[in-house]
Amino acid sequence: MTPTSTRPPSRDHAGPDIWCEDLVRIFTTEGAEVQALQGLNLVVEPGEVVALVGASGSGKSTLLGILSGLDRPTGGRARVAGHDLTAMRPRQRISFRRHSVGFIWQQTSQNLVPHLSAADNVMLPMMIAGRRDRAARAHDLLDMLGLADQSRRLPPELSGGQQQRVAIATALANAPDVLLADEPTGELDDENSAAVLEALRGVAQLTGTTVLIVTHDPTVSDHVERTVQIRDGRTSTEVVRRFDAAGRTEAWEEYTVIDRAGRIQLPKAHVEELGLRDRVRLRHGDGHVEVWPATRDPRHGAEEGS
Amino acid sequence: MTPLSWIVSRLRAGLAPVVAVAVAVAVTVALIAALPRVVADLAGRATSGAFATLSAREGDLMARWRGAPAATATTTDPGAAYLEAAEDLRQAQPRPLRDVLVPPQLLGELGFPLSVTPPASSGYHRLTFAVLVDATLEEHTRLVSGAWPRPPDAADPVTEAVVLHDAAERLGWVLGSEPLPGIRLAGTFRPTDPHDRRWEQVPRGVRYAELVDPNLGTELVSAVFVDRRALAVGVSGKRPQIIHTLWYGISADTESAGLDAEVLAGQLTATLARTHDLTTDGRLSIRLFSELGDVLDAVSVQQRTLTALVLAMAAGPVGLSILLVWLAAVGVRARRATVTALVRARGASPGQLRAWALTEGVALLLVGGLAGYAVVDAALPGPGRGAGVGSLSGTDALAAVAPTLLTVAGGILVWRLRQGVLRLLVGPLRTRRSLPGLLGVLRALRGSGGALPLIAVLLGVSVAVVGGTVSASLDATARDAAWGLNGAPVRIAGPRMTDDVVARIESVDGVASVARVARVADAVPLQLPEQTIHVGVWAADDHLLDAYRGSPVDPGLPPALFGSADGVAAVVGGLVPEGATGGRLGSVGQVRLLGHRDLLPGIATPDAWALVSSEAWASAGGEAPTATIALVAVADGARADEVASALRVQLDTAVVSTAEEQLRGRHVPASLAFARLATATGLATLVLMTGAILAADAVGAATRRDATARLRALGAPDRDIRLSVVWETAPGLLLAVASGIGLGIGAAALLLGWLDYGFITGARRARLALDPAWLAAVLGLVLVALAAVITTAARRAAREGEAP
Repeated sequence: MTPTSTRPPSRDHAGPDIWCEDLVRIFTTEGAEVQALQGLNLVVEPGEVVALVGASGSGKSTLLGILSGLDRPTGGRARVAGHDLTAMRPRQRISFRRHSVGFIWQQTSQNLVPHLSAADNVMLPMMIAGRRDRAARAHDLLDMLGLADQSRRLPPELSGGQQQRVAIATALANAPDVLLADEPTGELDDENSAAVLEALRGVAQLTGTTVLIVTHDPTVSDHVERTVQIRDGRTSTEVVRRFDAAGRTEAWEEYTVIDRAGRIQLPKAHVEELGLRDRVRLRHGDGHVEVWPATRDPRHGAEEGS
Repeated sequence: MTPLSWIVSRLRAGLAPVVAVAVAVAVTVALIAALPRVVADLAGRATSGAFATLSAREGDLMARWRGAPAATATTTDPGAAYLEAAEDLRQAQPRPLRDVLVPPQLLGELGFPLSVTPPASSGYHRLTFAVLVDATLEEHTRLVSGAWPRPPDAADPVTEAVVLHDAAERLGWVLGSEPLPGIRLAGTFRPTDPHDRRWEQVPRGVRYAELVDPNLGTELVSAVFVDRRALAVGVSGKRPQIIHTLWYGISADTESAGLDAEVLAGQLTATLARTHDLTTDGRLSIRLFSELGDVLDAVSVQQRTLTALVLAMAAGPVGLSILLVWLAAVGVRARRATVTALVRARGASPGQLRAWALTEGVALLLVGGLAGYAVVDAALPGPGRGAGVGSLSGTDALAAVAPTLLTVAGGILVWRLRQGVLRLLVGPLRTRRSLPGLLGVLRALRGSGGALPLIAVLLGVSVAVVGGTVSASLDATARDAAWGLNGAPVRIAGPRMTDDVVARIESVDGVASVARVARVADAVPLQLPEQTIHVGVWAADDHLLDAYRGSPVDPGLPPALFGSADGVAAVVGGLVPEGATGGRLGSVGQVRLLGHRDLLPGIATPDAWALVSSEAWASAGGEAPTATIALVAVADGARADEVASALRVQLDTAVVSTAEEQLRGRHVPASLAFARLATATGLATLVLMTGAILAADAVGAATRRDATARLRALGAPDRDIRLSVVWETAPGLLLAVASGIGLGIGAAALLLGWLDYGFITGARRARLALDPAWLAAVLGLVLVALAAVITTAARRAAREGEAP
């Protein structure tokens, strides 16, 4: 990644860039209700690069829609870049999209205007926002993403990976605090996927932008610090990547999320392996809590009645 | 990247739909801009057509007064003063009256005519010459010989004069002679334009007359023209009374003709109602008179009718072109949906989106609008002063919008009907093995599209049918009226139709038979079982059946009318009550009544009348004056106009007319222009209709794409996909075509009943007449257009359904 003059965004809000508490989203179609989010909690600190993974229908895209201000939650609270998403007026919502968040979608046709050059695409959000130094900033951003020599090309003249990197530059045009990416590598091969994910991580490092990536890509955890698993409309577990002094991955640690009421969701693999169902036994240990199958006595570690 | 370059890039990116919007705008603007011009043009044709046929007596604004020469000095020229005052009066008139009036002219007739008895060798027993002062004679004539007359001189007992060259030549007058007492021939002239209507006011200036007296011989009547200063001093020392005639001719040129007759009539009434001073001392006040007001009233009716018809028909193309603009704009919006979603997500506000769309819209409106206006400006000359908006005033607005309202109301009904028809089709299609038909009909039934093409077809077909049907109906009614007046292919009136005259008529090539028709009695009491009514009795011979045969208004007289075997038979008409089979007719006694007819073509029947056989009438002792009307049947293969020409030579005192001449007289310029307009409007409407359906289908194609893709995924071949589109679109469109024809005929009937077409049809009410050729052409063109549309839609569906 080329060094650039783009400055990290300065936050004019305190606390995390993404903060969701008990987020609920219910869709009603033809009289039937579908609860896409069921009290989701998520916190992403400024400058973090977080991947949100989960099966189809787990609520990932619904969450992204709410975080981007394109959809409204049915219940709960959400704040992005200091904006309370449940209380924004239309004018604030427009300002939020212009200045606070940037988006990258899976399909390049959704990210870039096909009849505008790469540079013009990057300048478009700045033109919408009424920003002045458009050409210079577009050049810096494309340079940062290694595309300075492609600035005059039209999107169809670029490779899929290049198009997504132009999309990253476009999303960063107005120096947002938060970058939201919905399956940004969905249409790319492994090599280009890796390049795009690296680009996202790189811009986060260089600009201090918070990045939230929704993806199916199993290799995403190689490129991000946190990978949050979402299941049945809730965040379930998190994998946090640790680095050694040389910046190499040292270890992955798996966490589960505990909400305000103290509820946690156990990883599915653990549940199935231990046959946890209906109810479990809890045992308060020294500085930790143990979860036991109901059929086993934690004091003896043996099956009841056996 | 600036907002402007962004908008330009948007326009350049999707050029085809943008061009479609601009073209649709251009068409709409062209139609709207053309409308007042067409109305003004028709109004102009109505006015100029009416003005062109006016005689000077009917059209000119005239004033007449008597006066005596007052001055003795020859330098005084009261004619110039009068003309100057009259011109000031013209200039003081409001427009458009001022433009319609041509500069005033003045004629003075001094005292009594001069009469002399010429030598017998001249061939005349007497020469009578009026002494005239034509104030603008020199402008309208060419001096053939000699010089213009000098002013009269009180000291000279002889006054110089000029005379029509033909008259001087006929009489052998020489320049310098004194052929009339106190008149010396100074020169001779000929009119530069003998057909100029001004000569109707000065008939002796263009020809001399020969009056034949069987006892005395022939008298030549003409005029001598003296200098206009004679108006002040008289002629030959005499100072007789002078009859002055001042007149303003009417201009029938196209510029002044595109006028609102109602406005003009109002201004004319105001002018005619006032007195006007021709002298500054107020000693001479004149009041103008004219019969132009009645003409303008008739023209006004004509203008209102034509305007209402034009507006009614314009609703079709204008409505369809607006629909096209809308559809093209929807198409552009649909194409940009993805980019719009993108820029919205990037923070574009609704205000920004509207501003961009507005800028593009204004640009397209300007480009398309200017192009459309330029085309109209080049193709159609601009309306004359006072025309256009003024011509639209007083239009029967309800009549103008009636066809559109009818189409809208019909559209709702047809939509319901379409749903019913589609439901009916579902049953039989379910039982068939082939799936595409059912799929297509179900899509049509449950899909939201279909309304716009249906409205486009309804509007297009109904307007095309309205124009043609109204035109055909007016043509048919005019034909009825012409034949109603003429009765037979050739009608002769005037001379007494003695056996000798009839023999001369029959001797003309192409004459098949001659029916003599005579008015034999007036106010004869006809005693019926219920009442007695006085009738005018007409008698004719049995050739009348031949004369009427082939006429569109043949009354179908019973042949028994002319069978004399069983007393007198009669056909009655007019106010005579229908149903009676017998009665007593004056001194003739009992008559058999064979039927009732409203009118007898070619015969100006009174309110109540009876037609009898001349032979039976004479046998029964009725008085039988000689007929003065003959209705001539023309032999097969002979041309009525050639027969009429030959008859005119044969009978120089008769009025010979043909039905075709009568018809040509009814084809006023405005009605001919209207017929052409109806054709043009019909074609334009059909073209726009095709465009609108294509555009509507293109806009709605996206909703069909998914279904088509699914069909293809299930293994449906192209043929089935095309067939499903045919079943989806064809039933509704065909129903709309049939309904459009019905609605068009209904709207035409409405317009025919609602508006006054007397300028074409005379006293007859316009009757609805269908033109099978026109209807077939409309139907054929519509079906071809629809076939093209459906084929295009089916092909597109098959193409778009293909896997990427």
